[in-house]
Amino acid sequence: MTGDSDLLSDAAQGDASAYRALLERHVAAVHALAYRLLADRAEAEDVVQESFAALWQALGGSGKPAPPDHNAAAWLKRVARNRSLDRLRRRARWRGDEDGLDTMVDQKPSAENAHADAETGEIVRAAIEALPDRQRVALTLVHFEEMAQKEVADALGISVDALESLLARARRTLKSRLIAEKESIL
Amino acid sequence: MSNPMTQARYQALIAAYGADPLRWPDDERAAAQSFQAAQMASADPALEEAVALDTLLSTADVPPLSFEKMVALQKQARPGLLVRLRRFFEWQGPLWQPAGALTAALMFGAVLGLADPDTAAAISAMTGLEEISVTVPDADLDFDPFGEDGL
Repeated sequence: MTGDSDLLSDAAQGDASAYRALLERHVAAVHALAYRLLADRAEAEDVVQESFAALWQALGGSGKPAPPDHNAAAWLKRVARNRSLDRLRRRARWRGDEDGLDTMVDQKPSAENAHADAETGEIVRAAIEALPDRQRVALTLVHFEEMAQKEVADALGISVDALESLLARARRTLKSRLIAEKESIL
Repeated sequence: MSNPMTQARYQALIAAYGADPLRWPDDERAAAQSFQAAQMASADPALEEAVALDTLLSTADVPPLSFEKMVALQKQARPGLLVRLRRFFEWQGPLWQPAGALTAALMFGAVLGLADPDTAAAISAMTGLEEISVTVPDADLDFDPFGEDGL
């Protein structure tokens, strides 16, 4: 299988098949990141489209940002993460109280309501989506993306201690919703 | 220099990052793992709950990209106009190929034009030159400049 280096080089030379190969290779991971951060399907799809458009522009020699030369996934995810955070920061509840237990957003069907016929994955996904934005972002970047704590804290503009506090609250909230249903969903 | 691992700090790591040491801070991982190994004889409810939650989190799925958006992305996945023009002008093949094709097309058009008496007369009137005409022998009416006898 051709590595990203070869595909990126071919795409920079105008090889249309390389563009499509890069898209197919990375679209799922970029979408998963955007969706977990935003918990909104339409916004996540817009971010995916913006991220790949940025890559195509960079490969076309737009100048800024410089295109990746070997790791397209990391480049795309960085763009997707930044654009997702920009959108989140514009939300009113991003600036509000992030204490999960008292102000947990519940715009999606609750785990209880969706439980009967929903698969475990959907129930867990719904519980994550219902977390306050900051907690969900912290959990997504540390747990699902396995980013370093300092890098996540910097991306959120908070200290590592504050990040750990967000993570602990997120996990506590999820535990209270999911572990209690463990027997019924497993 | 990092502080020695304590029970409180170990529990805080589990509470924030879960049971997988790979998610613990790089500079505390080794100390936390040593601390954990020393504790293995005793039950750790917090660790067990963290393992259970990590397992559940690993099942969280993501809905697929919509068909419409995937189609839009595929349409978008192509070199831009500037890249395509650059690729065209950086032709790496033999130069005689595009040049020869262009020349042949021009000559073919000129022959067709001059074979028409009206065209030849018009050219002569405009240029003042003696009228030039090209007579195409009947046998060559099927002449194909790009075929076996062509350029």
